[in-house]
Amino acid sequence: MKKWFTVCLVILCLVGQVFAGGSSEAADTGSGEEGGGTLRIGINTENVHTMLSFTMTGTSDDYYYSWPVYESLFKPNAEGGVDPWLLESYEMDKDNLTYTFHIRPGITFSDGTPLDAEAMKWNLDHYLEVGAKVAALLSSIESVEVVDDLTVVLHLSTWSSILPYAFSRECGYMYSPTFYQEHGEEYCTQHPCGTGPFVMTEWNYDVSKRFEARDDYWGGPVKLDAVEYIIYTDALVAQAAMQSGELDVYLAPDPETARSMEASGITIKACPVASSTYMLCFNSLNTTGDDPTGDVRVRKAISHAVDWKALVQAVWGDYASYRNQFGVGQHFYSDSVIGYDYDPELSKQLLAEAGYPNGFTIELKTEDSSALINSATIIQQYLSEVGINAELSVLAGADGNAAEAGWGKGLWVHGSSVYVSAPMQMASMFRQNLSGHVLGLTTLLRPDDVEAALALSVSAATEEEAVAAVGEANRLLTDEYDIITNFAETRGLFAVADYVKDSGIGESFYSVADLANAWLDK
Amino acid sequence: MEYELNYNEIQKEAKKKNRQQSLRIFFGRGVTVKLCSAILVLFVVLSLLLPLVMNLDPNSQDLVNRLAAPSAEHWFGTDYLGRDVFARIIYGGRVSLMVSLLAGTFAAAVGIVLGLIAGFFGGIVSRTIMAATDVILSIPNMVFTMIIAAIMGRSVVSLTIAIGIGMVPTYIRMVNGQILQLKENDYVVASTLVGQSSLKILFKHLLPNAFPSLIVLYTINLGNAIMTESSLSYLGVGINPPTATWGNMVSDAYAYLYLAPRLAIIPGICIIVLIIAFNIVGDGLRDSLDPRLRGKL
Amino acid sequence: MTGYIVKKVLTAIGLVILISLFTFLLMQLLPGDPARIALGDGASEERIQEYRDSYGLNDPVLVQYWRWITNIIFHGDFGKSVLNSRDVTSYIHTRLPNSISIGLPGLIFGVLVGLFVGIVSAVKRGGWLDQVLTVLVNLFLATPRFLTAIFGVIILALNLHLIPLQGYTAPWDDFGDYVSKAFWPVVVNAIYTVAILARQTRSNMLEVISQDYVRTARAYGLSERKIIFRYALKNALIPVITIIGLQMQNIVAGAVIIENVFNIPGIGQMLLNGIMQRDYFIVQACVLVISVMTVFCNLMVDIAYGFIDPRVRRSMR
Repeated sequence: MKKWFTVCLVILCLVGQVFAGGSSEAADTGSGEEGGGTLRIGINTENVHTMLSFTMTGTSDDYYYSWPVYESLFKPNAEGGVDPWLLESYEMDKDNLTYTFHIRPGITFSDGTPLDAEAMKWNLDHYLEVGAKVAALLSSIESVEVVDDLTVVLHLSTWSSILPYAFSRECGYMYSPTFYQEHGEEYCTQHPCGTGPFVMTEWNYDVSKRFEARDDYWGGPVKLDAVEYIIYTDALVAQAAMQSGELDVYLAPDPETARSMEASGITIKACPVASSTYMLCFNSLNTTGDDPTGDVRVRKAISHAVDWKALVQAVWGDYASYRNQFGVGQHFYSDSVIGYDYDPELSKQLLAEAGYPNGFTIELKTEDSSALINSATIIQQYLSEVGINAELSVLAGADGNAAEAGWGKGLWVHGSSVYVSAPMQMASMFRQNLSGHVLGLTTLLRPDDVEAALALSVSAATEEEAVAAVGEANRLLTDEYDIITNFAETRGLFAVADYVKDSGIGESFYSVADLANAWLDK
Repeated sequence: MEYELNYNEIQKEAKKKNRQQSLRIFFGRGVTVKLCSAILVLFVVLSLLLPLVMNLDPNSQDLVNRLAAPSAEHWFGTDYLGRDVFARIIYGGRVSLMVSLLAGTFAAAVGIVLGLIAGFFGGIVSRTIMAATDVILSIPNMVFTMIIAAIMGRSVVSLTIAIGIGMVPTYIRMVNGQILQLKENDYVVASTLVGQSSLKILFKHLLPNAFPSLIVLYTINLGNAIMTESSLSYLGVGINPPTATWGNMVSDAYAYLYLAPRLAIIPGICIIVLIIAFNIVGDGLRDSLDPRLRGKL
Repeated sequence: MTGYIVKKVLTAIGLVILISLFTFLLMQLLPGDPARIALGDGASEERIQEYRDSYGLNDPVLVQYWRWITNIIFHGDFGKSVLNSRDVTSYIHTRLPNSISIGLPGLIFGVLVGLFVGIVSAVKRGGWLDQVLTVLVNLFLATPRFLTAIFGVIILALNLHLIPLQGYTAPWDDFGDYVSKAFWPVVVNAIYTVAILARQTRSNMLEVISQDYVRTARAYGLSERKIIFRYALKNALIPVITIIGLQMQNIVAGAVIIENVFNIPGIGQMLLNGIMQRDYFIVQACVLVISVMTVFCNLMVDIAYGFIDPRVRRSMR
């Protein structure tokens, strides 16, 4: 028997050796001299079912997976504005309600066809027909006109100052019309053909995507050979992969993972331009008439009951900052919004005034992400101190997505990405007569004065006017009606290995990178 | 008359002796079983009584004092929201034990009743129940529980029921099998001949005979329930926060495995120790109650 | 024997039909509307009704079931994913082999190691080796899989660099790569099987060893080795076959967790995503496929029993 045991041990050791050999071989792939190699990007979900630009819905995953293949008309910059990207320049004419776009010459799609005015018109028309964000962002566009080979003019019905922002996101991605007409929609959803520096060569559903460098990229030679997106469902495994060098970049760790990674020596880049705002939403519409949140005094009492600054510090640490109003960055920030200080006494007083001296029980719902759950748990604890018993429930997957448009009764903790421009985002969330998948469609109050301020913010003739209108809308939303109470402004987080140079990942805004110039210093 | 009385007394005496013997075998079976029984009792007593004696609040947060190391004030330190880990372990143990006890009891009650019905009445009733049992047993338990949990939501009650439903078929099958086997036995046939009513036979003979296997299955299932609860938490279909259970404590602390490994390790050890204790006590019970079952359960 | 097999096969087919009906009905209980999930953001009520009509979601449940099941039987068509309108059949077709390539080695590995450990324990009963193994077996039985998996990743991959962290390569694509990547998932999946089998085998062996004929053999002066391998083992292994059948389920349950940790594109991951995203057709199809596999394995076990143990055959008559 002993002999058997020894034999087995020896065999096990041998097998172990084989594995050891196998793994060291695997670790070799991807290393290379400067100007070569494969950039391996870890990401936590597939979540993207289409790689065809105008069928995208603008989730963060849409943007991440688009880095290698798509470029938009404008590009968000590190200052919170946008610069022309596929455009060389543009002019706006508020009096005649037109935008004139001058296309950068020499741009080709990955099938070799040029990006000219016709191609751009085709893309814009196509997006206006089927795009997910048309109602929210592009409803002012009346028609697209080709003036010459590289010039396109947009005719508007009402003035919209947000178009450059809208065209800096997926709405402004360009897809090769020739390729689309040749292969049809079904094929194109799986085969992106954009203007970017890489071409997708492999899509292993739920596992990985591989993009190989183009040799005819308009921006000059591409330094990397390829980019590979690999899905890591378990954040801890992703961290281990970053530590061991199996991954070069990990996209969008949650704050916990980021902290954990930083503690183990991995560089976390936080985008200079914040990208999300977190808020507590109330069932202010109160259609059933029996929800305490229908009373503005109750809403204010709840907002005063929570120490928001402590919450932000506890959930995000240095990756976020407290913000009392909707939006990100300084541009649209308004000093006239007061927000809600931590004042439990005032809170109790307000509750008593509203007829709830002994508090009440209320539902508190949120989606399944650690930042949201932690925020909700903290809010719940603070509410219990003023006598409000909040019953927390976490809605995962499709349930959470459905509840966003109307969570029924009580409170909803929400995180909303803000694509650079606050008015653009607010117009798609808080205006009247919206339809489809809109935050609180059946639960948020939409007063006329908020509508008026938001309408003005989008169509304002001057930037000052727009800023003032956003400020007013925020004052109404927060201080006046307390329809939402914002508490945090968070920045996109990315784990990037130190040897990854010039990738642009985490250096301006979360939705863009500069993979054409990225290289590996190994 | 006298004879009958005597007979009853002898029977009682025999039962008593039998019980004593079982207990003796159970506790005489070496130090491991004793230790594990002690651990189980300790867990139950601690989670029930400690909150009465000590001032423990599993949910109160100290947002400044997050991820604090163990100290006199916080024996196991604090978690990522500044909550006392010791308090959460005690209260979490309460919930975990409660979920496993309730789920196990629910499953046993429903399973035994259905199993008895199936085994006793036979015919179409029996076939329907057994077919349903076979169907559920063909779907892997974990998958079935996951779907039920997704249907019923994430409250303590619904998770308990989901875990319970998943365990029902094993009881049905066991009770039914035992009854079929016992029905063939001489003394049941004799009782029927003597003219005892079905119900009387059921409670006098069939149930007591099935009892040893049931108690063992029950004990082992208690451990399984805790395992299922922790796995469901990991997969994101566990009990809603902030309620602490050992399962969701492990899965919530998962992201802090590098920063503060104790957050996951302490409840993890509790889970493992508790399941081991349940398993070993189950083994001990089996050996003392009915040694013939060895190798069958 | 033929009669026995035919009877078993017919029962199995009946069971599969019941399973499909049950699964379908179960899905009706899942909250959420497939049409709304399919159309997603900004779908109007009209479009939703249109979708429901075109997919027959407004028909009575049994009609829907009939359509679903006949499509599967006659066309091998499991329908389309609600979420991304992928063909579920081809989805399963790509996923199932991956799961099997992790599950089957896990089962085999688990059974072999489990038997070995059980036999060693029984032979060395009471000794230090037996005690160490028993402790290990109890530990394995009690440790949730995801903990074993992640601790393995931290120790074996991160600290010792013995295995890659995660990922999957199909054995038919690159066998060496497959072995190195699948090693740990397979082991994690097998550990529970090892524990169960070791425990069973040990107690079966001990029971057999204490029986009269073994004692007689010993009294005749046969060597211990001969007794163990010729007499004890054979009889101790018969009940183990049932356990092996049951372990199929365990492997599938493990697949859900393991495929999630290591991101293996198998059917367990597909199922979990399906449940989370309320992708009805995917969940239905996965549960059906998994259950059919379970039924098939149990059928094989039953038939094997029929061959090994004539009493079983006779009792069926």
